[in-house]
Amino acid sequence: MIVEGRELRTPVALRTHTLVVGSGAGGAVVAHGLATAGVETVVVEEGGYFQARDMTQRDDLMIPALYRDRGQQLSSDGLINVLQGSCFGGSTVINTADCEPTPDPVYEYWRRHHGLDLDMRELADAQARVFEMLGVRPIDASQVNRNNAVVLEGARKLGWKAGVFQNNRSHCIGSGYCLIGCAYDAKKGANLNYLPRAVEAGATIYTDVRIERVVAQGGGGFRVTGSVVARGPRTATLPFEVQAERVVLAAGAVHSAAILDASGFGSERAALACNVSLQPQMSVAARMPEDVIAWRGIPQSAFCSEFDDHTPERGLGGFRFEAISGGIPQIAAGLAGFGHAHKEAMAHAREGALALLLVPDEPCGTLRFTRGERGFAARIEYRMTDEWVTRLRRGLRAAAEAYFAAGASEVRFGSDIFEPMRSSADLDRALEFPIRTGVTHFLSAHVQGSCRMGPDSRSSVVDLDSQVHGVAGLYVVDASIFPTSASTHTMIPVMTFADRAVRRMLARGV
Amino acid sequence: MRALMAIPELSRRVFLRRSLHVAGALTLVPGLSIGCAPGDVARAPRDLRVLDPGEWALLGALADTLIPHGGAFELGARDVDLAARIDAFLAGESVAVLRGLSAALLLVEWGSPLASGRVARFSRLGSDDRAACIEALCRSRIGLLREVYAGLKQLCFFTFYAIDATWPAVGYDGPWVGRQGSRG
Repeated sequence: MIVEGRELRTPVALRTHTLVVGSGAGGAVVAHGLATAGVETVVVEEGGYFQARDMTQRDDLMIPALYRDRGQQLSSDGLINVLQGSCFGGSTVINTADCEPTPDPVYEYWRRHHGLDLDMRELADAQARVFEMLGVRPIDASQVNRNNAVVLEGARKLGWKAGVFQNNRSHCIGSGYCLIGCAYDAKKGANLNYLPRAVEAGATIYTDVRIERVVAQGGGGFRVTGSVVARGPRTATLPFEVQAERVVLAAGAVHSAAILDASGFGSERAALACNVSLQPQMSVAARMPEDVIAWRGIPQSAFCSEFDDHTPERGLGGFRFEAISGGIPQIAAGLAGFGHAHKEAMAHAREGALALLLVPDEPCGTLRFTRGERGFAARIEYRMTDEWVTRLRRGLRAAAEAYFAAGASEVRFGSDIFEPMRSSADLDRALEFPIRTGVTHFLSAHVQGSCRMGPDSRSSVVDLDSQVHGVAGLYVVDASIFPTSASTHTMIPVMTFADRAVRRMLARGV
Repeated sequence: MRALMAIPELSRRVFLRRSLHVAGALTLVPGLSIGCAPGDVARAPRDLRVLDPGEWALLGALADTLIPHGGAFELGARDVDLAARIDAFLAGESVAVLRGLSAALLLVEWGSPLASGRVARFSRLGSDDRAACIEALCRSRIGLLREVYAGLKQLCFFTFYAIDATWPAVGYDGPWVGRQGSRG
């Protein structure tokens, strides 16, 4: 059963065995695994329940509806727009559907440096089940649009490694609106598989419900409190309370930490809300001699991996660039300048090729929370290291080089003050790329690490079973548990660890 | 000619958060107000929901500077009363966010001319001077001014290009859902 907040008229008080907080990549997998095993399961989701028929393909309507904080979550210095889904299915509804597993060197890095002695066979089996459920398959060459083909062409001309993603789409017609929800159910997010199957198995899912506090009871179990919230403003409308034997937090790398912090679990766990990785990304835009029409077709199918540098000594390293596009309003808002020059550039929007430079980072962010009428607000403190900035600049130079090799006449980055590059002769200017608040624009779509996993409660928040150190029955299962960045795209790693976690829960006996 | 420089900025919302930074600073300065010409203010729609007529007029002037009529294509911010559309969008926002917007507009009115070496209020300047003020915000050494520039600019551009009437000019054929015999 799926219950939307607007259907509720009186305060809610429930009792269940397991409460799952969040219905995204982590929560959906856990809910499905438990419900199909016969465990009484309730899922709560702060965002709304949207189906294909609700997806209007309009940025101005869908971004506020589907994204955390209506898309306005920023790092405290204003440099990085931190994007997270917040709806039934979470980020799996608004992501690019790329299915990138955690690279082996990252696992080895976690084993050597973070004490995660992971059973690789167990992880491989978990990932195989996730792939099967999502229907993961390679993107067919016929579905690579011009915007993505430009990246492949540039890489090929330079002799650089490049490739095409695997994805969880089926019967995609290439409308191009993946980032604001698929109107055709072609993107197989958790909203279309794990969650409905969990419901079929008996789980109840409440949407428009925000959890704010988890209190361990003396005799075992938890009292969990929160509110039903109004769709849109998310102001509280009714009290919501659950008594549960087990609680699984899967509210994302910002809000799982917020709930633990508000519940007082931070006082004895120094690692809570620390070690945050944002994996910031910077836009790269090129003007091509022909129509590209970046907004049509699968938005992201191609990547250049020549500069991936993943090692057991560091985990994810190097940088990569991946083609991408958003809608016209987003393109316009990100375009440098104003006035007639901006209009002129928009008049040539069809010729624009777009990519994101992704630069893996060391976990160096922290979260601090305040609670207001619309829920938790996170203060995301994040400082880019000098080493990271150096890699960013090298990456910008490489991405521009690829675009010029593919025939671009001009390349720009996400900055209002960096003059466009007109030819390969300009490339070294990228090595001086300035980073200034307000006029340099980063985004993060892969926030991770606020409740990192590890064997030692002094340096981590959850143990190797995903259970909070010292609190039997309280789990965290989302991107917050990764000690460092798990992959260049986080849906598959989160689902893999969620599948692993739920099997371990069941192995313990209910 | 400039190339595209995009990617999801989720602009309007980002602006709203950014503007909160401004609010704290400007509420400490008593007596500041927006001084648009009475004739401009008098043209304000009667059904504004969050902006007062002065703010509507100032936001209109700012939007006109960012997205003027004519040039590569005819349609500009004034042609669609972009300020009123932004007003409608902001209805329902928290008091804190709206206070932030007011503060950001005050900063444009008073701060942007100072940043560009002018002594008049933004609303009383000609179009070239207004453009110079906006450029000064962008190039300012003060982070707060740059944030106001980025926030207001993104708010205006995102809202403008979310309007169906702008799409033909940029070669966008609009959503597929709801079309007669469409793929949706």
